Amino acid sequence: MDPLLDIKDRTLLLGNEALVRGALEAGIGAFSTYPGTPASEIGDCLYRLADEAGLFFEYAVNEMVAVETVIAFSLSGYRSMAAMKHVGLNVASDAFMTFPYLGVEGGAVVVSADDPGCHSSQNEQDNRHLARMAGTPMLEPATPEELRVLTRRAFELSEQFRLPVLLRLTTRIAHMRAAVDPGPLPDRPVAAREFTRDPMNRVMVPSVARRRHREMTRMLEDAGSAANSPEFCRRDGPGSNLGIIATGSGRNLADSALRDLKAQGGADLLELAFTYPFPTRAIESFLQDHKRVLVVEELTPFMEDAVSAIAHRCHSDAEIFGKHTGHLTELGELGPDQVTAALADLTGSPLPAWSGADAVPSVDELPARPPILCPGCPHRASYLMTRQVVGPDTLVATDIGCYTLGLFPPLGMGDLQICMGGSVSLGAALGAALDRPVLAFIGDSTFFHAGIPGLVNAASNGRKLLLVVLDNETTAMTGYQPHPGSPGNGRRRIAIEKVAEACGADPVLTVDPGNPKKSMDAVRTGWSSDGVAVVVMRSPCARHALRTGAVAPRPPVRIVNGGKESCSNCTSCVSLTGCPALRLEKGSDGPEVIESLCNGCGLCAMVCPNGAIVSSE
Amino acid sequence: MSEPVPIDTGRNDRTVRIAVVGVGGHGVVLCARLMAETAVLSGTQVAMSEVHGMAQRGGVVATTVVLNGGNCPMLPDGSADLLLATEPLEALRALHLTGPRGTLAVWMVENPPASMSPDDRPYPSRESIIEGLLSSGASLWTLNGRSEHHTPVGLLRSNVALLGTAVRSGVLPFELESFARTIKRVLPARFIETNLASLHFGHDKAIHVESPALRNYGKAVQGR
Repeated sequence: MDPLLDIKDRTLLLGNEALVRGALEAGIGAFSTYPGTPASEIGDCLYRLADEAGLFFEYAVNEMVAVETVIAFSLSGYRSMAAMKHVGLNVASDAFMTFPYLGVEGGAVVVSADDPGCHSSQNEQDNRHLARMAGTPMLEPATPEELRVLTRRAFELSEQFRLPVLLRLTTRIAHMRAAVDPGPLPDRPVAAREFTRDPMNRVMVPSVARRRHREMTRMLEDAGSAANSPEFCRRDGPGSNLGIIATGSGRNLADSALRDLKAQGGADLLELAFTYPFPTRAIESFLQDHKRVLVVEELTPFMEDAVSAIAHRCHSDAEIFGKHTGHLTELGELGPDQVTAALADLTGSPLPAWSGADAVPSVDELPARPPILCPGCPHRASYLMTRQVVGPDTLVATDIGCYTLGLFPPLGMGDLQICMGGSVSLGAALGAALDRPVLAFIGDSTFFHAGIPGLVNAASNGRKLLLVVLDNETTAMTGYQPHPGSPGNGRRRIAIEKVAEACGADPVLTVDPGNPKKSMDAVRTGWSSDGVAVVVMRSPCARHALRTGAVAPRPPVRIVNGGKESCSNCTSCVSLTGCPALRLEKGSDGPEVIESLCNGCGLCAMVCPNGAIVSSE
Repeated sequence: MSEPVPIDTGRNDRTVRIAVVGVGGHGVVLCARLMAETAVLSGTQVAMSEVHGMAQRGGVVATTVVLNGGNCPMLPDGSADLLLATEPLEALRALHLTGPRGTLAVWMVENPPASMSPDDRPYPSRESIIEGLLSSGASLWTLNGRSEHHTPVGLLRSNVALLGTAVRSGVLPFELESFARTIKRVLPARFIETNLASLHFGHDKAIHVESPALRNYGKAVQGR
């Protein structure tokens, strides 16, 4: 039995696992997702156990499809959930913004995992604003145990108020691990399999939408009273005139700062877990009891602004502190040092003994260790050969995935990048703007996710573009989830070449980047085309292929010293490939192979002008 | 709203803050997880934070564990009671987390970052690393594992060896036997023997580096 279905006692769970456990305890009947850090493990767990738990599971082609899938299942009486990273909700927002107008039948939960600090993302947007914008109730759990409980409650609240619920996490909550006490599991998923025909409420023409908007607003007001329930608002403290209002990760940080400052006598704490609609009454009453209030939350002053507005409306003269007063910042991930300093300032407490003891070497003097493409990664070969053909001055539009790491030297493949699928339109438009050909790279999963409209647009408008699809047959960066072009998985495999042809690309060529001559010929042909050309460079992800046993491990390479074909210490192998399995020690006779890392792919052997790198076999 | 899951033993309720750092692939997350699992099994309240995604592609991995300290898994600068590092440069990079009241345990096998360009900052010498680590005032334990530490039961694992060293240092409220129990319970059968050997290696072979002896330490360990 899957471990998440088999929990009996207190168990250490990752936040995302606890969320899945909560969904199972609620009887989730349908789930759809597009993987993205920090939400990926939610889908990974449910993919693993979907058959066993008897629930509908889909890896959607993108987040909009995931939310649309949840809408259809919810209206068919399934308790349904979609999960995505914060920027995924941008893609899904066309559906998400009108979802509350439709309402729900089976409880519907949309999980947004935000990434303050950009641990693995292109921005640090605050998706709480999207809950307000769409008009959905929002829950913000702060611990794995609370993720379990509030995910289950989110389904119930959704059905109570007939609205989808946004369950908002941040990286630190999704990827926190702590003990969870499991609750009981239902016998079977909640899945009525009925759809009531009601077009005058379910087809969003203007006359229907205007009426549904009114209805939805009424339901949201009801949800607003529930937000004040003690179930979601915990108030604690000695009765100080300084208060803290905290949400999400800010709750844990405020608690930690109070412990460290031994300032328990110095501040009361109001913890909020139901954060939209704003729990107005709970906040009003807290404002009345405090002269000064510090608001602790991740990213934007979402709650702080609400607290200020509520204070104004209830004629409270409490002073509000937070991001607007410079005690905390909107930038990056909220950390304990910031919160402790803010609280020390307001309470007049001395900082903890350990603070300021920074007699440590400056990190700026240490060699950096950025993430890089893995040894044996086929993208490295694809980049090298493409650059060889198009020359050093050609601009490169790139996209989102492992291959974005080709940005770093020595590959230097990336001049412009913004969002999923963006490389295709950016590349075509940059070419038109500058009147010179531009190269675009996109990954296989990203191509299906959002690359297709840009490709049709470029082809139909007669743009000139070479698009290289880096196809490693999996969604590698987020943990090797399958996509429509992946082999196996019991799904119909959709060929990227056929899609590209149908989008108007000509020529469309497929090569194995392990074959340099054929690859460079294909790039040459594509580059000389007057229209939109697509070259698919297909080779399985090196790491995934070893993990799954799809390919046998290859012996590492060896550098020959002495004899006719001997290393001349030209360092081409290192300076061209940037492979982490090759090391260049200062003052040594030549590069050295780190055998434990080398994948034996032979790319360095291909670029060695002396033929001095050979297989160690 | 969830309270911190209550502690059901009065055995040891001292707050202990731990950071585990290293390079993607070193098993940093597993090391921290074994600590957190051991805490749950022994009824100690625990919060742990880990990194996923892009950070794992050969980059720096930093994980934190807080025992008996509420729900916040993050550490203020200077507050770590224990900093475990599977790589010396990464110990230096994370040194801001600990201070004079802390304890450091480092697997002394250099893993230089990939050569990106000739202008890369050089990898610091063994001596300057040791000096840098001691400058924090933390108590320093080192493990002179070799990167290919073959034993009859397989390649020793730095991540689990450091748990043994952590027990030896006396900072953790757990016995060696508690970790052995967790390893047997959590890891797949085929990995248990190697990991138990690594745990004992880390406990038995750790060297406590005393400051006065420091001057010759760098040379001494390089001569080993």
